[in-house]
Amino acid sequence: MPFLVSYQAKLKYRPVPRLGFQPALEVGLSFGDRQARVWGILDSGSMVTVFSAEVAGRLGIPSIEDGHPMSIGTFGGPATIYLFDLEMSVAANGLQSWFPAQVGFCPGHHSRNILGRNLIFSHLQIGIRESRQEIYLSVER
Amino acid sequence: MRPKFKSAEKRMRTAKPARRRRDEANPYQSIESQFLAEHSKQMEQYSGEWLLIHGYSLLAHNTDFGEIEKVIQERGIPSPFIHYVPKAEEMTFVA
Repeated sequence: MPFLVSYQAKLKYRPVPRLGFQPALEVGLSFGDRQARVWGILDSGSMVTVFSAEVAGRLGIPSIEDGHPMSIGTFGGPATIYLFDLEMSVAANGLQSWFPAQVGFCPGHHSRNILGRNLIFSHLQIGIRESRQEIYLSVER
Repeated sequence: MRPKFKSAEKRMRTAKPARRRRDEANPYQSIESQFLAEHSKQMEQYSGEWLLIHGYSLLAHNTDFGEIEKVIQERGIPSPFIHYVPKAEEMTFVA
């Protein structure tokens, strides 16, 4: 039986330098009184949301290893990320959402930020239309 | 002494965003995201570097994130927009 799905906001894929057009979103991160805004790539195949160590530094996290360790499997082999409780925001076309966020940081440099299923996909309804390179968003109720 | 910039960099610093109606939402979410998307090709010259974008301009770029943080502190930017441009070997990826 057919059914209709409606979303609050629509964004186009955006050209990420050296990566081409990607389903990337700007997210805000807040930890204590420190904030940062970065692009992350939506990745429904990733169970976790992971940012580079430099982002942790910007947020005033002195040592990533102070976070809760979590082992993850990657094509490059097993790895450990460290989880921290932050706040994350997404603002797009009138949609505004802040939510508590347990995000992982890689020790060392990681070249891209991954918005995985455990977090942003739980707080927002997300539709991806690859053929039109469009992202659709609504706040989850 | 004022820093000297390459002409392309100077053009980016003086570029203006495409105009929108006052009630029109920014499809890039912020003016900084708009700048990065609209200058994506030019930003590729900073492969392996971190970018600090503030308003519709590139404020700093450096391979050392500590140098970016210094500019953030000097300028007192409360919620800076930062972005890393991957190197050639970091371009293709699977999660």
